[in-house]
Amino acid sequence: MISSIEANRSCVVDVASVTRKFGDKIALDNLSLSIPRGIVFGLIGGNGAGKTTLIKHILGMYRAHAGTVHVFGRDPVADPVGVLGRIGYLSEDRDLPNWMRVGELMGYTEAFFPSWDRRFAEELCQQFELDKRTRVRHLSRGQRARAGLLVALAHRPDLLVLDEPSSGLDPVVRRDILGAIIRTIADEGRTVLFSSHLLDEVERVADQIAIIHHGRILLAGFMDEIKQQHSRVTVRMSGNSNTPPTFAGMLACEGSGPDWTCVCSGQEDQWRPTVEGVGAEIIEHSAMTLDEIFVARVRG
Amino acid sequence: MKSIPMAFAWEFLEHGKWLMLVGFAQPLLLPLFILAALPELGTSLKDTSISIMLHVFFTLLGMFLVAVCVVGSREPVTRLGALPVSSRAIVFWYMVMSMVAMVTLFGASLLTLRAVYQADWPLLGPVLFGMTMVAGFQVAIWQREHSIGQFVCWFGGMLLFGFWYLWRHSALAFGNFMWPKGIQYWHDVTLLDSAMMLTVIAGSFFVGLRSVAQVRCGETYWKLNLSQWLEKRSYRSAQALPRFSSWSHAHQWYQWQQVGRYVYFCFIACGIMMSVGWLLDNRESYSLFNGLVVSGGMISLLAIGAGIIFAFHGTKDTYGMTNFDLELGNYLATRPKTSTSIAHCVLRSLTKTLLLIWLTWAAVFAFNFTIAWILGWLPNSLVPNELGWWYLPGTVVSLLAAGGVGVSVSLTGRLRLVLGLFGFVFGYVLLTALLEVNRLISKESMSQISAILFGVVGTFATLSALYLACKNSLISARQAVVYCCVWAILEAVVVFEWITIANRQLPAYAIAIGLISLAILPWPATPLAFAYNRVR
Repeated sequence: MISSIEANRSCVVDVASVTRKFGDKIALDNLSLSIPRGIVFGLIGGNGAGKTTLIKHILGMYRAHAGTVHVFGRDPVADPVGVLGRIGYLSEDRDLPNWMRVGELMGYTEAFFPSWDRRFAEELCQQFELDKRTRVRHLSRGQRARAGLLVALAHRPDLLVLDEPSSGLDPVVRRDILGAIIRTIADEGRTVLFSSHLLDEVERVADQIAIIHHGRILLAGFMDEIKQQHSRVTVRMSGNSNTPPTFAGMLACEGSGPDWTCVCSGQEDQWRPTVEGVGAEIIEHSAMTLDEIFVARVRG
Repeated sequence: MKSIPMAFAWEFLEHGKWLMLVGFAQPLLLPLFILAALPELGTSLKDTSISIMLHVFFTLLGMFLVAVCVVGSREPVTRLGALPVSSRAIVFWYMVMSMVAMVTLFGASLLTLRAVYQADWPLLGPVLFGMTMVAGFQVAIWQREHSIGQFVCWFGGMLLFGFWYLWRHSALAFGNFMWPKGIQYWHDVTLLDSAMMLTVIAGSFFVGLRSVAQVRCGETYWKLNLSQWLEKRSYRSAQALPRFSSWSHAHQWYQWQQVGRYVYFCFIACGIMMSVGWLLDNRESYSLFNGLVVSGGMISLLAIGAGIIFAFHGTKDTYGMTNFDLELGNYLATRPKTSTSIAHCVLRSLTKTLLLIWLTWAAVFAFNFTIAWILGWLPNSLVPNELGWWYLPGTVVSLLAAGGVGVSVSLTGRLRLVLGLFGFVFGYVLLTALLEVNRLISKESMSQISAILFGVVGTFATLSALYLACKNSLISARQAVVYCCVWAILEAVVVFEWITIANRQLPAYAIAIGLISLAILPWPATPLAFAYNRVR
């Protein structure tokens, strides 16, 4: 009992059995998720999978139709001051007041956050090469993302939430964003939640990931464990069989004739006997990238 | 689609079907409303001068409204830039379709009005003129697509075509706009009329062709570069980093910069236009003070609009409506403040702006009063007798009530709610007019019922908002008590006045009670609205 309370305390975000519908469409379906303190958590999923909806629940912009959401142990809808004051958020659309100048945006945002670090803000402004007198509407897409990142980071939030931070951006801006993530986690106890389509980036920086599909969590866990638990196996069926093999732990399979390439989940000693049990010979066995795991899970 | 014109026509009809339906209905609504009230005003369409005056006014307004709907039904022409179709074909088919739509919609509206009111109004001249006008407006759009200069072009076009239309009815022949006796119907389309209209259509085609061709290449036609010049000036003078003493200070600055200053400038512009109108018209002190007294009430109408646009934050945190939805943007929605604090901050900003407007109006009034008093030009009665001393506080309360209702509705971020409110008010006014015209109820009884209904609805709405805000913990019990005390004190003044005065006019007091309630309403209603918008 004590350990579960301690576990909850160490969780920055605790989403329990949340369901959310938009009309007849179920956006989140009995979804549960916990994000521990001090990690980089990657939320991955296809378009319309429910990533942004989940993030908006965490920010208190959506009210769950069923289930509960707690951030820092508080309900974000009931206590926006306690929750949002500790979050830095960069939205998918980089929503910022277009008419403001960058300097005005910094000054305006500073007024809301007592923990705003003016020196850090100046440092980020210089690093991102932002002119404080330029209006937000005149910024390029990449500069706009940098400006959004600046105001999300400068109050040194306990939780940094980035919704598709690098989509449509050039490699230089993406490097800035990844650098910001790394800097944030370098500060002890800070947490990053980010959603992305760019799985190589997620693979590079995330400690934990969750794959979300049709409003449900398909897979969640530590990156290393997930990669260890997934393998690509090429098997050759005995005899003249042209049918794909079926065995416990197999997620997907493609090929023709006697040779088939299968994606397996679980440890090798769990699936190897079952492969051999169906009369197949293992020709090749290799590790998988996150991209491949994602496709296998979503299509499977 | 078998051909490019077919594809253009299908897109035009599919994209603009609802807007074009509005285009048909709009020219009918105001005439129906006013023509229904003509018997009440002791006149009818049988009076030729009234009939011509109304015809000119309704047809001109109707044409503008249909033109807005027709041109608004079009997707931007820049979208077609990458398609394998010539600029000539784009301009030709777009103009032809717009002109056909204008003839059909405006002609149908005019025929309906003629049939309903058996008015001897000409059809051909106004319809052909409308067709020419829409061609000119289409070109005005192409000249400045995606830029604020589009509105300047529209305004210029409206002025030119408006003067042309008035001139054709001889309404400008007498040097003023007060409907001189010599105005006449446009019954005959002369050779000169035809030549002028053909010239405008042909000119529009060639100018449009050049505009579209240049827009497709990403070139600009001609520019004053005024906005760039202003931007450069403001860039040089911009502070690198503004400092705010509190978030409330910062957010009030935000509201003023985003909306408040524009609302104030609109008020000033309206004042200047009215002053110019007075200078051009009769320059009499009676008219001046009459205008000032009426404008004291009219600023409440401006306040409704101000209230509504004060809450337009848009989905992208940019000013204005995005995709016709007023949903709060992510940036503002994630400010670490309670919905009540932010809503009240918006309300305070609005109140300050409205009070600034009122003070400006009061200063102009006082200035003119002083000058007229010194020169001995003061009219006998400044304010209508039935209003008396109520007039001055009445203008403030109605200003705050109107602005408060506007911001409370708009802050919900639901366009349907805003449109629903307008629809309800318009429907109610139309219903009362129809009831009165058909003699189902007398004008006095209807006024009394409306006034009492206003008082009851205002009181009920405020009580409901207080209850709901308390129930949802958006306002504290202490705040609720303060609002109730202020409300009770103001209402007590009204009741005291009602008791002590012999000649009691219940409708006036019911309206006063309703207005005071609505002035209190936004304090509990705006947090509810903001929370409803912020948490979906």
